[in-house]
Formats: sequence, C-alpha cells, structure tokens
Amino acid sequence: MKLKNILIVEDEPYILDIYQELLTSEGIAPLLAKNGQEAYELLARGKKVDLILLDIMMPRLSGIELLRKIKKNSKIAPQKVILLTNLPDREIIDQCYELGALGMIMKSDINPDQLIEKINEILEKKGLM
Amino acid sequence: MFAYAFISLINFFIALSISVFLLLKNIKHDLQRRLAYTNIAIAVWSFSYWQWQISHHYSDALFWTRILTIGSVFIASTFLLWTLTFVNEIKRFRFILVLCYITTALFTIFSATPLMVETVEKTFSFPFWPKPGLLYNIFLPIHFIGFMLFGFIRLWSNLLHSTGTDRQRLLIVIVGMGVGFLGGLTNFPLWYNVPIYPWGNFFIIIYPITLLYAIVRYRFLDIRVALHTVTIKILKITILLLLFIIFVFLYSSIFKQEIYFTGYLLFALLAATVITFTDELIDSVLQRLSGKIFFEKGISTFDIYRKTTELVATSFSLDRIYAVINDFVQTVMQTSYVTFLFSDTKKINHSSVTMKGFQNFDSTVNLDLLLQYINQKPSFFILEEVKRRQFLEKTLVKDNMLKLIMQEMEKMQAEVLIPLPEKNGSFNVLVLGKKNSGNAYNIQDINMLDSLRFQLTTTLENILLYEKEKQFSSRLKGEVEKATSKLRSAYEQLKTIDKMKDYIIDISSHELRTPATIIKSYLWLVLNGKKGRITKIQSSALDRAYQANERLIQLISDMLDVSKIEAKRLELNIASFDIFDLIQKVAEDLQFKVKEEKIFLKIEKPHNTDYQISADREKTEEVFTNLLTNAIKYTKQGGVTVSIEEDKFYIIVHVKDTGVGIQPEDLPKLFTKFYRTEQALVEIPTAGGTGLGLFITKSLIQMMGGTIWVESKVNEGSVFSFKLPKKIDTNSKKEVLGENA
Repeated sequence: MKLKNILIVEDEPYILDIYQELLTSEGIAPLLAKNGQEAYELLARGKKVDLILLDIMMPRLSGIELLRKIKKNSKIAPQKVILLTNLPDREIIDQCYELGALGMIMKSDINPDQLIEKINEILEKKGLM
Repeated sequence: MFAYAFISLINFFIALSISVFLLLKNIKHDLQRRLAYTNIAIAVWSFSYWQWQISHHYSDALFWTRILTIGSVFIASTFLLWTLTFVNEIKRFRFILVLCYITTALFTIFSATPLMVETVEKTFSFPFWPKPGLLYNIFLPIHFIGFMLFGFIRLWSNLLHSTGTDRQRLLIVIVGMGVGFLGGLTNFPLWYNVPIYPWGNFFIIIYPITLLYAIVRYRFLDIRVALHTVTIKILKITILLLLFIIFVFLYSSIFKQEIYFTGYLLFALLAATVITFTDELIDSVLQRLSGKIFFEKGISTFDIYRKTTELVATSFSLDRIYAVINDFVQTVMQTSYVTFLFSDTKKINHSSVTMKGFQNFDSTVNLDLLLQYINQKPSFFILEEVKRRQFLEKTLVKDNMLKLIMQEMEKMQAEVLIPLPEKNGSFNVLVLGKKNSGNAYNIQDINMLDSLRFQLTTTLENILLYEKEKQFSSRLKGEVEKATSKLRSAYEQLKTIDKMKDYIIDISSHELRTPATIIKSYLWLVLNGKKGRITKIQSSALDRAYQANERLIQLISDMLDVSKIEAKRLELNIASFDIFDLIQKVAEDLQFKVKEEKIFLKIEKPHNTDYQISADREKTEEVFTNLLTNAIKYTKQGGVTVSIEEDKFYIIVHVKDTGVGIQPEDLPKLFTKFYRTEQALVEIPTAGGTGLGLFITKSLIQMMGGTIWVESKVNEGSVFSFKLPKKIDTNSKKEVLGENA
C-alpha cells in the first residue's frame, strides 16, 4: 500500500520540519498538526489520511487524549496510528496500543532516513502492507 | 401489792428511755419512730399502772385506771402500725389500719366515761381493781386482743415465708413481743373477777429489755449472733423471775403473810446462790437450746463469713469479687450499697480514681479527697464512730479535713471506709453505705470486715495487676495498630513518591531526547548532503558531533534502564522466539560498523535450525546488540565470531573477539555500574560508552533467568557468553513431569 496522506502530529517545530523535509523528498506531502487538538479538528472536518505519526507529549491535547477522542467520535473512522515519540513511559504506550496505536518509533533512536523503513516494518508486522 | 407497783415503774422507765432513744437517734426512720410510739404507749400504761397501784383513794384509782385504758388502746394500735411497717404491709392492710385508728379515737374518747371503766372496787387482795363498762367488753376482744393478734398473725405469716436473716429478725420480734403481750393479758381476768393475778406484768419487762439490749448493745436485730446472746439473756432473766414468783408464792403460803424486807433479802440470797452455782450450766444449756431454735434452719454468719473468705480468695475478676463482697455485706449487714474505689498511684488525683459498683452516684463527691485521707490514715473510718468521738473530743470538731470527709460521706450516703492498701503503693478503698435499718455498724461487723480485709487486699491486688496487664496488652495492640496504619500510609505515600519519581525520570528522559533528536537529525541531514555539499574536514567534524550525540542518547536510555532496574520496575514481556533469528538480524544491522572497522564478523552455523528461547525479545536484542557493539568497538584486528550451543535447559551464545582483551583485575568489576576499564579509556578514548551497558546487560539477563560471564586474555581477545532458558515445549514438560512422577 502506498502511503499518500500522512498526518504528522508534533509540537516540536524543528522535528516537524525535519520529517516534513524528509517525507517531501520521498514524494509524500504530509499534513501537519502542531498538537492533538489541531489534528482532531482536521479529522473532525472529515479529512481522510492513510497514516498518523503521533507524538505523545503535546500541549492542548496529548497523543493519548487524541486517540481517546477519535475513538469516542463515531463520525471519525478508525485511524492507522504509529507513535513517534521520545517518551519511554511503557504504561502510557501500552494504553495507546489499547486505543489502537499500531506501533511505536523512538525518535532519538532513528536517523531521518530510517523513518519510512520503520513505518513499513511496523505496518508489515501488522499485516497492513 | 408493792411488787406490781414496782415492776410498773421499771417498765415505765425502760419504755420511756427506749422511746426517747429511738426518737433522738433517727426520727426520720419510719420503723424506729413507730416503735417509739408503741413504747410511749407502754410508758403511759406503765406509769398509770404504777400510780393506780399506789393510790389510796377511789377517785385517784379510777382516774389512773382510765388513763391506763387509754394506754392500752394506743398499745394495740401503735403495735399494729409498727408490725405492718416491719413486714412492709401498710398498703395491703390500709383498711384494717384505718379501722384501728377509728376504734382508737372512739375508745380514747369513751375512756373518760363509765362506758369503758365503770368503777374500781376491791378485788381479792387489790384494794382497787377496775370493772368493765359496756364498751370495754367490745374493746378488749376486738381492739386490744383483735388488732394485736392480727399483728402477730402478720408477723407469723411473714416468718413462714421468709428465709435467712429476715426469718431470724421476725422470730426475735415475735418472741419478744409475744412474751410482752401474753404478760399483759394476765391483767384482764381480775376485771371479770376471775382469780388470776397479773403476774404476767413481770414478763412485760422482757419485751422492752429485749429491745433495749438489742438496740444499745447490738444495734437492733441485724446480727444473728447478737440475737443468740439476747435470747440467752432473756431466758436467764425469765428463769430468775420465775424463781422470784415461786419464792413469793411459797413465802406467802408458808409464812401466811406478804413479802417484806426479810423476804426480799432471802430471795436475793437465794438468787445470788443460784446464779453463782448454776450460771455456767444454765448458760450452756440455754445456748444449746437457743442455738437449735435460731441457727439450725438458717445459715450462720460464721458460715457465710467462711464461705466469703473462700470465694474472695478464688475470685479472678473484679466483677466476681465485687459480687462476692456485695452478697456478703447485703446478707450479713443489710447495707444499702457497697463500692470499691481504686487509685493507680500513691499520688492520688482525680483522673486516677476509678470506681466499681456505685450507682446513682453524686458526681460532686470528691473521691480523691476520700482516698487521700484514707491513704494518710489507713484505718477504718466509721462515720458514726467519728461523730461519737467528736462529741467526746471537742478538738475533732475543729478538724476541717475531717469535716470535709464527713460531708463527702454524707453526700454519698456512705457509712464506712475500709482501706485496702496494695504492696506496690496503689491504694484502694471499700466503701459501705448506710445500713437499711438506719443503724450503725457494730463491733462484730467491723471485726468481720477487718478479717476479710486481708484476703480481699491480696486478691484485689492480683486482680488489679491482671486487669492492668490486660489493659496494657490491649493498649499495646492499639499502639501496634496505630503504628501499622502509620506505616501503611507512609508506604502509600512512598508509593506515590516512587510513581512521581518514575514520571519525572520519564519526562526528563523525554525532554533530553527531544533536543538530542533534533541535533542528531540535522547533523545527519548535513552529513548526508541534504543541506548542500560539505568538505571532508567539515564532514569529519560533524561526524564527531554526531557520535557524541549518539553517546548522549545512549546515556539517557541507559540511565533510564538503570533507574527502572534498580526500582525493580522494569517490565518484561516474556515470549518464545528463535534467538538465532535475532542474532542474524542484529549482525545485519551492525554490518556497516564491521565494514567501518575493517574487521570480520562471523556467525557460526548452528547444528540445529531451531533455537527457541523464552525471554523478552526486545531486551534480548538490547543485550546482544550491546555485546556485539562492544566486541566490534574493541577489535582493531581480526574479527568477531558469534557461536551458539545448547544444553538441557539453556541456549548459550558466545561472542568472541580478537580485541584488546581485559586486564584480570578488571574482570570482577566489569559488570558493575559506571565501571570502565582503564585500557578502554586509554586505548580507545573515542569508543564512547556510558559504563552502564554491561551492568544493564547483566541485569536484563538475570531478570530473564539467565547468566552472563566473560573470559579474556590481554591482547588476545575476550569471549562474552550468556545463556537464556529454552522455551519449555509441551513434550519436554511432559518428560520432566514424567521423571518427577
């Protein structure tokens, strides 16, 4: 499956910038949201995305809160979500998995070029590719 | 007829004394006051009798016989009133009592007329003897005999239904009063010219003497022993009187003349002789007789006392000993109440005083004061006795402390305080209320209580000690519970703090990683030409910065691991997987490093195809990556060989390098936190490392049930080996179970 519409939800502008640059160079024009709230509004407006790269620690609406809200809102279809975070809290991450997150990528562990590779790895593992 | 006049005079004085005594002593006490009324009536009757006997004129004799009749009227009615009070039947027989009052009023009024005493005339040897009027014929059978007999019937009926001390009390009343009544009846035959002389008047004296003796010496009827003694005295007097009557009769018949001085002298001599020689014999006979009458059916005081001493000695609780003492005092002394006061310490204060068995307690009573006083003067305190002493010693009246104590005792209706000092200095007091009869405690009561006191003190001491122990242990239990709950809340607090700590570590780790990620990413972009071309020198410099940043990220990760390991909060996700797959994957990932270092990496082909282990895949990868990275890092020539083998329970992995090797002194410290070999620091300063890798590796392996070890020779190389448990497959499980079975 070719990923066309990727939504990156990330509060840190430099990281957002790096991933945007990287995905653009791969021929993917990502949608950007600076926090969970922005992402939620986007999805609530009916925006269709193939994948969400979701940070957890964010102002206004955190990653886990966004997952909860998506789940609650019957108008928003279930989303493919991969956590892209630096938070090592296993408890929170497990909760995110319960809310439907497919996998988790530790930002500090990868070089930018490994992002797509990691995404594919997770999707492959889940049998989604 | 001098003897009749004389005995009347004596009767008069005795009856009068008794009534005055009773009224002065306790005028508020119904029973005593009503007994005083009866005695006043007897006094009136006796006085008139005396006056009548010594009268020389018709009119005097007539007057005094009429007053005498009034006395008789009142003797009957006051006796009935007292009797019904004594047996507590005033309400039940109110009708009869009212009837009695009416006839009393009626006959009293008519006593002034010839309808009661018509005249006085010579009757046998008496110069004046009254003759009955019309109403007297009704008065005698109905009022005098009728009501008095009714009183006796009530006493007798109660006697039949009573037990113990009540029975004894009733018996002495019936005997004493009965003798007096029968004696009094001998006065009436002469009224109707029946030749029976009023010799019974001599017996009337028995009744007041009974009372007098009982009241003065034994505080009225509350002790069986007293009863016994009184009975003996009465019987002795009766014998003497009988002797006197026989003597008078014989004297008159032999000498045909009235008894005068010589006669009395002779009688006195005879009486003295008889008393001197027969007193002991009579005493013992009478004691046996009266003992049979009074004691056989009841339980003797001595028996009760002995039983009580036994019970006190075997009591094991405060409630029990209280019940025993209460029973004893109630049975033997008829005390209104009994109570114990306890004080923990010698320094008595309000809080230290506790009570047992005091109801309707006046809260203003200063118990500490009582205890303090008795503590200072540990002897019996008997209110009545103190009052008597005050009467004799005027200095005592001015004793303010004593006054206060007496006030407090009156407040709590207490009569006796008995000190029960403990050996350990604690101080207890037994308080006895006033007697139900309103009388004082006598010497026998006090003696008994005093003897009982020693046993009581000892037992009480033991019981209180036991109670204190019990209290202490329950207090201890309370303290332990309190401490436990404190600990529990402290533990909860600690748990919260621990959680907070975890959270803070997670957050700090996140906050550190974010800038490191940005640095790493931009450096990578620049290094990989995504931001324009860079020179080789620039590239080399940026690469160092990149490597240093990698080290930082590793450090953050390691420190997080260490903190979780040490807090024992690292969660493992144990599952089965093929470790050889994992080895191949990690080797592949690190292939670029191997190429950089220009060494070889050889994965020895295993004998089997399946190396399933039971462990956390992620952590195992971390462990192996760490070991392989280290091996590559420290190997400058040659290469790294990874081999795999198995035993019955484990899969063993060896990572062998041809690197610098490890100094023997470093080997034992290799797996400790922040330990880095000098060799590593000196020879490959750029190799990086946090000094935490092997500590984490060892911890993870141990947590997964495995072990790690190392063999090394300097300049030849090292072999790091670890083993992890094999997957437990169902077949081998069965085998193991089979072996065990």
